[in-house]
Amino acid sequence: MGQRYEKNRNSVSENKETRRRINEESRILSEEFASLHELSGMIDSLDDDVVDSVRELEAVKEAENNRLVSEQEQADSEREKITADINAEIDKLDAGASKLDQLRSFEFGQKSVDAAEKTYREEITAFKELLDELDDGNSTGIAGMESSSASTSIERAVDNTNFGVEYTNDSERSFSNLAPTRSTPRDLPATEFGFTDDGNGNLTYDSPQEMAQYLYSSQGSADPSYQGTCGLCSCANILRLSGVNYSEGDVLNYAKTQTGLIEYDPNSPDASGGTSPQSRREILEHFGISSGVFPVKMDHGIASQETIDQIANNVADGRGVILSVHADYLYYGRSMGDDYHAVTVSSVVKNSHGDISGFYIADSNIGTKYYTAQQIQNALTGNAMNVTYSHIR
Amino acid sequence: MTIKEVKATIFETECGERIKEGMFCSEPILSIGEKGLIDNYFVYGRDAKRQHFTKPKNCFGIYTETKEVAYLDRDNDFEDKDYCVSEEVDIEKCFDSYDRYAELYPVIRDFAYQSCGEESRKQLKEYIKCFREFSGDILFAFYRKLYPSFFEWVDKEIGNL
Repeated sequence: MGQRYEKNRNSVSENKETRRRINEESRILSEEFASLHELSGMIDSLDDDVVDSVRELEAVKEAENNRLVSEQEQADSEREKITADINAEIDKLDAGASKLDQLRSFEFGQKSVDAAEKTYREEITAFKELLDELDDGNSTGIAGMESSSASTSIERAVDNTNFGVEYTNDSERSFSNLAPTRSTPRDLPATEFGFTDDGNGNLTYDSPQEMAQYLYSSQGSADPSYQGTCGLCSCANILRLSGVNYSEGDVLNYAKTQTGLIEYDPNSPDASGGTSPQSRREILEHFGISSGVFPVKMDHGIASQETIDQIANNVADGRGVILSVHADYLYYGRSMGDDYHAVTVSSVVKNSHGDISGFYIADSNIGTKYYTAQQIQNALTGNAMNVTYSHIR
Repeated sequence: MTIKEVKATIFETECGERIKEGMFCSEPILSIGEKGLIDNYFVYGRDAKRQHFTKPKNCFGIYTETKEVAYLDRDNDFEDKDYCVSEEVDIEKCFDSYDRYAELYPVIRDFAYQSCGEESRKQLKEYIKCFREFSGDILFAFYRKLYPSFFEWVDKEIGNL
């Protein structure tokens, strides 16, 4: 079981322990102040000194009670959060399991897919057991307090067995998790993002325009001797999409230490920093992202529709994709077919019928821009693409 | 075969590994090998304004028809230095020349190294004119020196360039 399961299991244990402690302290409080209840009932017949003492004791009891109620509310709130986290994990695992079919004919064999599906199902079962464990804690707590909405979430989790691509409205999106602030790249069981409807029937994966601020729009900033760093910036972009804030400089410094990973020409900064799909794979591996180099199928010298579909599916699955393009097609709409430029695909756009309309391309020369699927089809050079095995977002 | 189809073949061979993103690849220049026509290429570096060039690197050749590697990593004796021109390049004019060159490419490919009739000579002349225009002086000099047999044939058919 992975780190996320361990984290959630620890949270469940801690929450159960907190609730047990609150219940115990509540019981002790009730026992210790039981006689106070009787005294309060005959307060009119008591001496003033005794009444003052009773009032003081009542104040102490009330303060203690308030403290426990507050702690109980905190524990309930924490339990709701844990329940939501576990439900989210189950959702992602369900989504991953349901999408495995798409991979059967792509990079994995039938056996691998079956094994992965089995793993997913086992993890889902384990997470659901955690929810049951958390639910058992419902019986504890201070008497009279309402139970949290955890049971609703639990019912949802149990009922949720087939979670496909999620379509959201703009207002529901949160961009708070776009900033690359993690210490390790994300390795999700399925993509965390869905498609956003722009209101005109166009569906855009993730938030390319908001994410653009974290991606390279000007290459060659790390070292004036290395200006041909489109592939290195693309690697840095993939790392940032996965949540870690590596820079062109970080990637370049590593590549410099490895023989043959990048081009270097002391007479030409523009010819220094060039990478192949294989070298980009090695660089990504070094920084913690496992990826493959996949052929771009060409049909009469132009990228096939199958390739466009594969790119779109990979992006929509939350995988990182780096393409080789003739950039002049993107900048001028025409090309001499001599330039080879690496770019990162940051999003895919589909129309209301589910057809691929185009892609958002993070280009380390000009920043993030939208291109139609036809433009990308024309621009692809035929050199292989990098695709991460892991779902990085 | 169209120029796009010919170039796409590069990545169906080991030669594709010699092209790195951030670099540039030459046009295919035909020569005759033991197994037929070879498309000859070299990889090079240049700046965005097309005024500074590296020497040709990673020269390779492909029997495009059979998708076989003819040769790989052939050396050349160009000096390692910055090759530069001062004139600004008219990119739109280059694109226009390239488009016409691309139209003529399959035609020229069909009669390469053969004696030309009047129409073929006219097409060859226009092909070379366009090729020279979009390549620029530096690259054109590289092509002539690296692939003399092709340009000897061209010179023979249409006169010295």
